[in-house]
This record gives sequence, C-alpha cells and structure tokens, in this order.
Amino acid sequence: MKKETGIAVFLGIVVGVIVASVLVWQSRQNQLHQAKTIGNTQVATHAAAFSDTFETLAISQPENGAIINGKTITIKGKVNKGSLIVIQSPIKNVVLKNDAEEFSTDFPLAFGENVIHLVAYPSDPQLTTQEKDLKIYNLDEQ
Amino acid sequence: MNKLTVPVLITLFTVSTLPFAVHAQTKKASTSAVASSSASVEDQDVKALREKVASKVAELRKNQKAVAGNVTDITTLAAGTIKIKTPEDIEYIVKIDDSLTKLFQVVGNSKKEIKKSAVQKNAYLLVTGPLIDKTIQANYVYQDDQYIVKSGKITEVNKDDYYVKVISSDKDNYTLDVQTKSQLVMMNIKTLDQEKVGFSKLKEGDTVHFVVRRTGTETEPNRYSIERMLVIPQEYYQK
Repeated sequence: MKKETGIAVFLGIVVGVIVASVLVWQSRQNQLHQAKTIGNTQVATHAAAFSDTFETLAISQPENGAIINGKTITIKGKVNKGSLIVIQSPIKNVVLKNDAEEFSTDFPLAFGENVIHLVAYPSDPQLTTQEKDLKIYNLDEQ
Repeated sequence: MNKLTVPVLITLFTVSTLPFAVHAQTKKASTSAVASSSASVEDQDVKALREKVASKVAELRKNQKAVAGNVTDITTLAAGTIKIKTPEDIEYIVKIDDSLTKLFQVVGNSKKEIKKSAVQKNAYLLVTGPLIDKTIQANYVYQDDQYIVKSGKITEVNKDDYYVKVISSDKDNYTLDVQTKSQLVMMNIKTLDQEKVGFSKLKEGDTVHFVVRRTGTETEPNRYSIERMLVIPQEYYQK
C-alpha cells in the first residue's frame, strides 16, 4: 500500500468518527429537548388541575405566621355559599353562617402566640369539611 | 515735585494692586465653588448611605420571622444556643446573644423580663428574629403557654370519670378531661348562638372544637384538661 493511500484511509476514518460523533450528539440533544417539553407539559397540566381543585375554605388575610401589634385582626376568606364557619382560638369562639362566598370577621388576639383553628362546614353534604390553622403573633416589639 | 509724588504713588499702588485683588477675588470664588462641590458630593454620599441603611433595615424587618416550639436541647445555653422543635416536628437552632436578645415570660396580656437561666427544657418558646434556613438569631424570646386548638368527633363519653374521647380530623385520639373551670358551650342549631352546657349534654357523634393547654407534665399521651369546648350537635347536620 502506498503512503498516500494510507493517509487517505486514516483521514477518512477520522472524518467518519467526527461525523458519527456529531450525529450522535445531535440525536441526544433532540431527545432531551423532547423530554423537557413533555415534562413541562405534564407540570403545566398538573398545575392547571390543582388550580381547578375546588376548595371550600381559603384564607386571604392574615398571612400565617404574621407578627403584628394589636388587639384584633380581620380574618378574610372565601367559602362555599351557605357554609357554617367556626373560628376558635384559646380566647374566643366565633360561629357564623355565610350567605356569600366571601367572608370577613374581626377576631380578638391575646398577647403572644395565637393559634386560630378555622373550619368551614359546607351546606352541601357532598362537599367535605375544610380546615385551616393560623398562627398569629401579637407582640409589641416594634 | 512733592505735590505730584503722592498722587503718582497712590495711582501706581492702586494700579499695581488691582490685579492681585482681582486674582484674590477669583481665587476666593474658586475655593467657594470647590467647597460647595465637595459639600454636594458629601451630601450625596450621606444620602446614599441613608438609603442603604433604610433598605437594609427594611430587608431585616422583612426577614423578621417568628417560630415557636418546645425546648429540646438546653445543654449549650451557656454558649448562647438552644434547640426547639415546633408542633409540626421542625427543629430550629435559636441563637441567643447576651447583649442583644431580650427574654420575657408572657403573663396574661403582658410580659415580664426574665434571665436566660430561667429557660427550662420542654418550655414553650416563641422566638422572633432574622431566620436563615433553620437558624434564628433571636431578638426576642417569649416563654409562653402552649395551646392546642383542634376539632373532631366525640367517640366516647365517660360519665364516671368525666372525660370524653375525641378523634380529631387529622385522626389523632385525645382524652379530654372536663374540669369545673372548663368552658363548655353548645351551638344553638337555629340561632347559632353559643349556650353554656354541662357535661351531661355531651353525646357520642357530636362534633367538637376544643382548646387544651399543654403543660408538659401530662401523665398520658394526648390527655389534657379542656380549657374551652364548642359543641356542634349532630342535629345540625340532620336539618
């Protein structure tokens, strides 16, 4: 075999290996991209399903763990129409029935930690009772 | 000659000093401008520093959190660190700085300053300060009573020993002793008013909302004295 032929064969092999590597790498990238897209779609679908889940009690105010300085707070939230709402803390029980979806009530606070347990009993027996717990800290350190 | 000498000298003196006066005036004005410029730069620096401090304070306030739990480890209190565990089983390291941290005992609706040595194992502490990960740099520590507020259904009424057994909505079983100080009320199913009731009105199957105080000296797990209990009679759901 001539020297030139040997060089040509060697170069051919090198170029072949490079082309093959590039093709493999591109193929893997395409697969990864597809997997990512599918993953995101699944997450998005799950998030949409979660946001569609019906909740019979949602508290918009106050934020759990809030540190405040005051004798009362206003509790605001949403329940199913006609729900019986029970709010209890170590110093007070409040019972109210809501004809609207949104509710708002003033609630007294003790000094220190206030563990507030909220329960909504929907008027529709098909719906389940929902509970929320709030911890509000009434402190005068500001 | 004598008559001319004086005016000539005065004129020469005036003319010769004029450039100096002008020069001095310019120099003075320039110094003033430099001073003014320097003051302005200083003002800007002070303003920037103030804004930086205000932003830092706002950031620290925003990061100000409160955590509450029972003291689990007090062995390193002298070194300024204790561990607490929340009712949700999350453990926090509390850093106590002798010169910065203030400790109080909550007494009713007020507080009384206490010494660090007054903190005991199992005490329920409420700690406020900047929280980073699971470590809180305590600004204030309050030793307080721990209350449990739950709801559930009565599964047993023991009329001999004056207690009720309750299964909570999170499937925990409680034995609740009714004491003379316990505040028992029942919801009127028509008016929703809360009416005082005695132990004899409690029935199996009633829904109850209860508050108990955890002292840490309980002899039986999940057995407490009732502080307050609201009963929602079964008849409410049968309307």
